[in-house]
Amino acid sequence: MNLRKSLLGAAAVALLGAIGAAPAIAAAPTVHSLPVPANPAKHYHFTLITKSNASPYWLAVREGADAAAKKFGVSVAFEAPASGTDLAGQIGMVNNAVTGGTDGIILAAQNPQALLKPVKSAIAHHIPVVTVDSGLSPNISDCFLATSNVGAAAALAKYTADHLMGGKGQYAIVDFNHTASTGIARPKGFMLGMKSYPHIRKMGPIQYSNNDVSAGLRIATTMLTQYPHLKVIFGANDRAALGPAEAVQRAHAKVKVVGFDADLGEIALVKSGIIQASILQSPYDMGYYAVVALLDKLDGKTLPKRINTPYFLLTPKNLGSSQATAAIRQYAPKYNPAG
Amino acid sequence: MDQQARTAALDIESMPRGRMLWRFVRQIAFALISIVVLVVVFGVLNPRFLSGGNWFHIAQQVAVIAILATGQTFIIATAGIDISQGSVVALSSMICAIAIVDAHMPPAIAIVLTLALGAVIGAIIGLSVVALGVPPFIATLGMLAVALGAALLTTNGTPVFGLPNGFQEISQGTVLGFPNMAWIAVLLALFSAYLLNKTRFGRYTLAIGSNAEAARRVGINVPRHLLLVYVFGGIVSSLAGVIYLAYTAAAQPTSGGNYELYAIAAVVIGGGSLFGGVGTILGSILGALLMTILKNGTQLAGISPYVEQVILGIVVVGAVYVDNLRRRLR
Repeated sequence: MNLRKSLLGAAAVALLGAIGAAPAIAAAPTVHSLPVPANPAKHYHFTLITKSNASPYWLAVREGADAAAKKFGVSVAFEAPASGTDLAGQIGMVNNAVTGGTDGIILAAQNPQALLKPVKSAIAHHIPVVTVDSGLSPNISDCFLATSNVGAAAALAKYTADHLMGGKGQYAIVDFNHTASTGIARPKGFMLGMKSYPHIRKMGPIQYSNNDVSAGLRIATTMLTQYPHLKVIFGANDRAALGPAEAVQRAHAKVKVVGFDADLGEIALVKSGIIQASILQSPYDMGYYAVVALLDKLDGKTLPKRINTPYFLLTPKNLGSSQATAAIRQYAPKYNPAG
Repeated sequence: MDQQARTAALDIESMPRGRMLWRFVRQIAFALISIVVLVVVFGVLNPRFLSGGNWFHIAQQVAVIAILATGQTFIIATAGIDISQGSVVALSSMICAIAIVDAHMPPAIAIVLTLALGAVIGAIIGLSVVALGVPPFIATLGMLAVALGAALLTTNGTPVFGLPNGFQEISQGTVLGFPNMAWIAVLLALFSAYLLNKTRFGRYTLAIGSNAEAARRVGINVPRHLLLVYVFGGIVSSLAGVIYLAYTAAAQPTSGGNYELYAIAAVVIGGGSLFGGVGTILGSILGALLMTILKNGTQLAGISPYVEQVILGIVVVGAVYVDNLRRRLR
């Protein structure tokens, strides 16, 4: 487990070195700065509330949290609205967790401001709150574990520009959500990374697939007709990359897709070269270390306000490496590169 | 024939008081019994379910759906349906937020403006139904898309923040320990129940739903009345949007999704019939309360949210089945 972690961390660092100076990433502590919790005094009941209840990404966060719960002898209840835009539903779930007497909350906020009030109420009830992936603004949670989305997207842009576009040409963006902090940060980071290439141009406005693969497919199909010289489409998460990848395949186009995340469908597309690069985050670690952070907090330890979880840039070339396998297992713990 | 039609339309008016009450009790029995059962079960599984703090949250969580269910009851009672409610909630919350945050309007003015928008939306739906002859399902399907698109257009998709604390009092403030947003739902329900049961407006609504042709023959101006019902429904949806905005403290153009389905389910659980002519406000409110208790209680009892969805589906179908059974046994 620890070996896997350090491999992943090392891979991220090595990769950043390999693709040159990474754009400014805020120096935040890593998950290893969290003290290993002592066995808890009692059987704590935590609540994990993600943005939606059926995305492989959130289920990976859940698996990580469940694994930590098993290891430290606590339990984690999983709650999430069916849709990632049911804000009132998510607010209700945080409030219910507070009245239900939970011992700690792990939250991926659908909206950085709207969740402030329920989280304040949790804090007022002395319930620790750890945010993962998508935080609050201002960050009033005890600890926020996430990928540096701007930094990772900028690193992806640099790799794309250097290795896939030869420093010139056209690209377009399919985003998954215009209100979530991650949905805002990734296109921003990608465009930031592309700014240093004067011969690279973004075509059209950012399009939104609302986490719907078929919407992404439709949008990308239109893009292929609209911009015949398009070289790259950036899909800002798994769903937003899958649609364009499908469109490129159907049209037999030469366009390369780069993306974020890795469900098993995406891995197959990386293998076949349709997706040429994808940023792999650490959803399993987010869930796992969120439980660790809650236990530390209940143990009276001070937590860093922000922890950067590692990311890995997956390409068809490094797909077979042990680092890639470790990174993919963050999404699919049972992933087997041979299978 | 005319005589028959007259009797059908005036059926409700001429019914003896005792029989009417009995009919009413039977209509809401399913929702009422289900709620009692759920409260007992959840209370045993987690005693905190019964705490005052939890009922406060349930009251907050039920308000928006209860308000939408009220509007939906009138529309369904005319044998119509409104599937645009969720989008109208989104558009209304965006307009209200923009009016307050960007246009610096006093909240009261912004709310009146938003309700006026709801009236216009209702009028457009109503005119599509009565003047263009478009079935209510299609007319509101169109409005669902139009309102969602308009909500996205208002800010090009970005959310609106920064509502004054005074405005959020609508959801956070309390009277007699009960959240204001729930009081608003209660007041609307009382007004609507009066409207549906004690006024000509309500009797016409039920008469049209029972038999539109008969209603026309006894001299009811059916198109004009349907138009008014949709205008009322539109205003109620906008009110729900204002409440939603106060609750979430942020306007998102994609919020409110599927809320129309919850509202329709609330009406059906409460004894309303999609064929029209039947429906009570109390029943619909109980339907909304049942769904909210189910959501809240399953979480507190540690039951998976996936299971909650399955239970909800069974409850909706079960409600209609029990209703049919009751009719056959009569």
